[in-house]
Amino acid sequence: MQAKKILVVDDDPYILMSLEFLMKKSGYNVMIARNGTEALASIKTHQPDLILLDIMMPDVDGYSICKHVKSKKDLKHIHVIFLSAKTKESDIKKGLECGASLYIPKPFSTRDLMKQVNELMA
Amino acid sequence: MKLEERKKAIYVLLAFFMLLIFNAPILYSVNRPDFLGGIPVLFVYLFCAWLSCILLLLFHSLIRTKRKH
Amino acid sequence: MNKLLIIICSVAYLSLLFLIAYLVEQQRKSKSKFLDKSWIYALSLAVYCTAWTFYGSVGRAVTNGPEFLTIYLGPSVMCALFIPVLRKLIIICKTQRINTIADLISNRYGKNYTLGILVTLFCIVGVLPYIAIQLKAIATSLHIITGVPKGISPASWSNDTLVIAGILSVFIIIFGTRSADASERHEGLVATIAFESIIKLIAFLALGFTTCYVLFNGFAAISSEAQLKGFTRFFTLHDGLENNDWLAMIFVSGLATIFLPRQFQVAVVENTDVRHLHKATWLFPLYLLLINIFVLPVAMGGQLLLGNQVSVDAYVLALPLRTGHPLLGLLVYIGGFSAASGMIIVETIALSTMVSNNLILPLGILKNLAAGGDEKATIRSIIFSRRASIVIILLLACLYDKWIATSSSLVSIGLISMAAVAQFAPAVIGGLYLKWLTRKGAITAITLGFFVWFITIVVPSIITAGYMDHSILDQGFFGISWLRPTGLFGVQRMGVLAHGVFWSMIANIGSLFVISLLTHPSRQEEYQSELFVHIDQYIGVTGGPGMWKLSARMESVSGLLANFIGRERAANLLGAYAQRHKILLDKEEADPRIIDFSEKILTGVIGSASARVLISNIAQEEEISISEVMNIVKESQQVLELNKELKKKSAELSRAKQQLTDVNERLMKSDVLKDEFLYTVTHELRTPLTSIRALSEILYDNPDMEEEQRQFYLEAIVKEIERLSHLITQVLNLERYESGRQKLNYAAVELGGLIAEVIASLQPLAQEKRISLAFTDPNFMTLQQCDRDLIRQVIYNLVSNAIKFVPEDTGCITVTCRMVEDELQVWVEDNGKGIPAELRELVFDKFFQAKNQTIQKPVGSGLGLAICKRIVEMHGGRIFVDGLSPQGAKFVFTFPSN
Repeated sequence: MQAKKILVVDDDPYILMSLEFLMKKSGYNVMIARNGTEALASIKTHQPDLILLDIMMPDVDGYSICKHVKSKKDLKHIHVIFLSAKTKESDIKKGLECGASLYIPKPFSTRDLMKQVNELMA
Repeated sequence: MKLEERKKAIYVLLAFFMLLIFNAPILYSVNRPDFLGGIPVLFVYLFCAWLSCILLLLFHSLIRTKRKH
Repeated sequence: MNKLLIIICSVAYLSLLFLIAYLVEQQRKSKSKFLDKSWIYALSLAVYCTAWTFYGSVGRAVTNGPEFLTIYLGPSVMCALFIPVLRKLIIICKTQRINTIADLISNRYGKNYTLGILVTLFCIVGVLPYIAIQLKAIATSLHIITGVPKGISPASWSNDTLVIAGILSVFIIIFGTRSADASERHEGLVATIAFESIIKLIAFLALGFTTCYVLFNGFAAISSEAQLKGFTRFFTLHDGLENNDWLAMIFVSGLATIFLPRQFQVAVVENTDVRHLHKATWLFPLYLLLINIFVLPVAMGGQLLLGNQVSVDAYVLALPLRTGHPLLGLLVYIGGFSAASGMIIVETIALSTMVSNNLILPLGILKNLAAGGDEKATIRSIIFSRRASIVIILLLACLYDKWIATSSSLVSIGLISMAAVAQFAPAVIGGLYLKWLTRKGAITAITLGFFVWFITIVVPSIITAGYMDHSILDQGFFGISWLRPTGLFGVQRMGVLAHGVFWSMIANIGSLFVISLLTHPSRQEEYQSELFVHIDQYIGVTGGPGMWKLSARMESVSGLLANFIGRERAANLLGAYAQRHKILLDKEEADPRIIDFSEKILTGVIGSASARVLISNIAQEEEISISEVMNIVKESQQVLELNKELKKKSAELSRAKQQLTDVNERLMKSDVLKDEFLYTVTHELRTPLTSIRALSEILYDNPDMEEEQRQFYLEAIVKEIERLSHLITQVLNLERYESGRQKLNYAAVELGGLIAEVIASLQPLAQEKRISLAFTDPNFMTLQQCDRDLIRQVIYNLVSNAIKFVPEDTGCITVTCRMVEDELQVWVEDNGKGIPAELRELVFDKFFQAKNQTIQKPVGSGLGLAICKRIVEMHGGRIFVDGLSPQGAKFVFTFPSN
């Protein structure tokens, strides 16, 4: 069975670095994007199974990307997990309404995150 | 002093002034059978003083009414 | 002259008066403003000049020289003194609906019957002879002009008097008693009085002019002829000045201007506007002067031409008739008729109201009236009682004329009347200004004053007339010499009048003060005294201080009122009052203000004391203490003041409200901003925290990591922690500057040195990037007052920002100082990619950078520029991005000129 593909999107290089490390270690096929534009391109070309998505990005925000994914028939199956420093109730609600599977506020526990990812990918 | 009070004071002063000019001692000095242009001095004095008092009162009442408008 | 012609003329003149009265009444109803009421008011005051003036002045001038003038100088003097008093009296009488002097005194001293009756009786005694001589004057003038020889058939004279009295009473009844409410003004009647004043003035001036310039060759000619004939008494004052009669006459005639019932009637009761006093102040004395200016020449002319052929009081009329000027004679007759009838009309109205309200109505009739259901009958009875009083008074005057007619000339009876009414002056004027005067004091004062007046002034004149034993005058009462009527307690060398006025006033004022100090006022008295003395404070106060705590059924209040003024009018008045003061009328219990108002209405109809009795019949008075009354009084004053305050406050409030709304809006905005800021801060904190946690957990969970990678991760953690602490410091700084808690530590700073220092400390960072960093004015020596540490921070932030944004290797940063029009500017210029024009202001916003960053990693906290802006503004300077140059970013901050 082919390894699941996971796209990690974040504008903070250190977070990106650590998430890449964690996913690779769990045996996933990891792609990274440092902003919304890169993320959209990567989704189109790679069709990942899961996107770990930051919300606050300089060009396109996470919500728009999530909505885009969920609105396309061929992309609909992609799971989205929001990882965001936006922790207000309204933000979380909005994120889930966009069709995300999970909304994990930053700073998150890497162990919990991995558990959730593994469960989702199982 | 308030305006109202001042007006009252002026009236009282006027009255005493008038009481004075119509009484001794000025009256004693004009109370003699002399004539001024053929008219008795006393008569001339009394009417002149009287007229000037009326003018004072008129003047005062005019000031008052003007101030009101 | 033909008697018939004279009678026709008299009747025609009377009809003219009727017509004037009627027209003015009609005009009043239509409310047009054809007549200037202030003129009417001033002229109506001239009712003061009666037949006594018209005929009597000349008579007195013949016997006593210029002494007669005192009677007109007095009012002129008092015109000044009495303006404040009159003003107060008018206001009180208007608000309290008082319409006679008896009612005024009774009202002031606790709405007391005794005082009302006392004053009424004294008025009758004092004034009735005065009315009698007016009637007599008309009759005499009628006889003179129709040529009835003197001394023939005195019986028919009296009959004539009776006829004249009858005609006048009809006129008075028609125009004086139209309504039961005596406080209603008789404008028609007053207009006729004013008209009569004009007629009598014209008549006398015509006579005087004719005497001076037709019969003689001017004033001087008459004087010299009189001097030639030895009539020197015309030119000087005789005893009058020495025995103080002169002063006494000025005094009593002055007081009479207000206290004679007719004067009180026209000056106070009939006044329609307090402001009319202004004109009266000078017009009334002027009138008096004009009517007196020819008295002396006429007297001299009469003496020269007529001698002892006719009585001195008849000179005025006899002069034109005997010198062949019958038409002038007719005019003079009409003038004299005007003078007498005007006085009789007003005096009778005033007296009849007094008699009716104080003597007839209280005699049991009142209670029957109040109880009686038929309101029309009640009103009829009141009007009837007043009309009856008029007839009785005129009848009494006729009887007096017939039986007691004395030999005294016109003037002395007038003076006796004036001295009588002067006895009311202390109680009234004192009552207006002194709160502590009591009812018992007033009763004693007026009684004693009258007693002394009677002894010292009336008795001597009775004795002179021959009705009493002359020995009393010489030896005193009961043979005791210091009880001589003209020399009480051994006082010598005073004229009869001066002596009488002196002692009566001493007795009057003395007892008023002493008894008032010895007695205590009743509650009602205290209440009324407060009202009278401080009337100015109660004008416009709802309900006034007359707010007794009375409770009564609405039904009985309106019923009582309807009984006296008619149901319709009562309903109208109550309705209007209730509407004005927002009182509900349909409650079972009457509002205290309604009761108070009803009492005032009743006062206008039947007098204060009766009104009080009737009201207390239907109303239960609650026990209240003086202090409570005073509180009510104070409250109502306070309400008035509060009202003014409130209006001011209301304006202030609406302004404050606007301000509050503005502030609130700003607060809400700043609240939103603050929330946003906090949220952004936490967000900014979360990002490095996330990295740190993730990296640390990885390191912890993977002990078998390669050494190189481990080092890299640890280094990243340290950097993120640095970033975190920097951010926290910045946030705290900014918060401190913005809250104003940061105090500027001013010192003279050598700016050039400071910049050089900062540049030096940042040079390593620049070298790392291989860029050039230069300060172009190292010798800039200007001393600037500022906070060294904070300005250092500004320079540091700006320069380090520039270092971040310039490209490596080619980067070039220059710092310069410039003086531009007294303004010290510091420029930090770089050759980076610059800032788009639309963002030049936004860069100074907090976290602007974080939100708008296009490169991956935020290079700062996003607060640096916001902090710079804050610091520069705290120093009073500006910070901005220069927009002129197309290349690179140019940050400028300034100091205001020292």
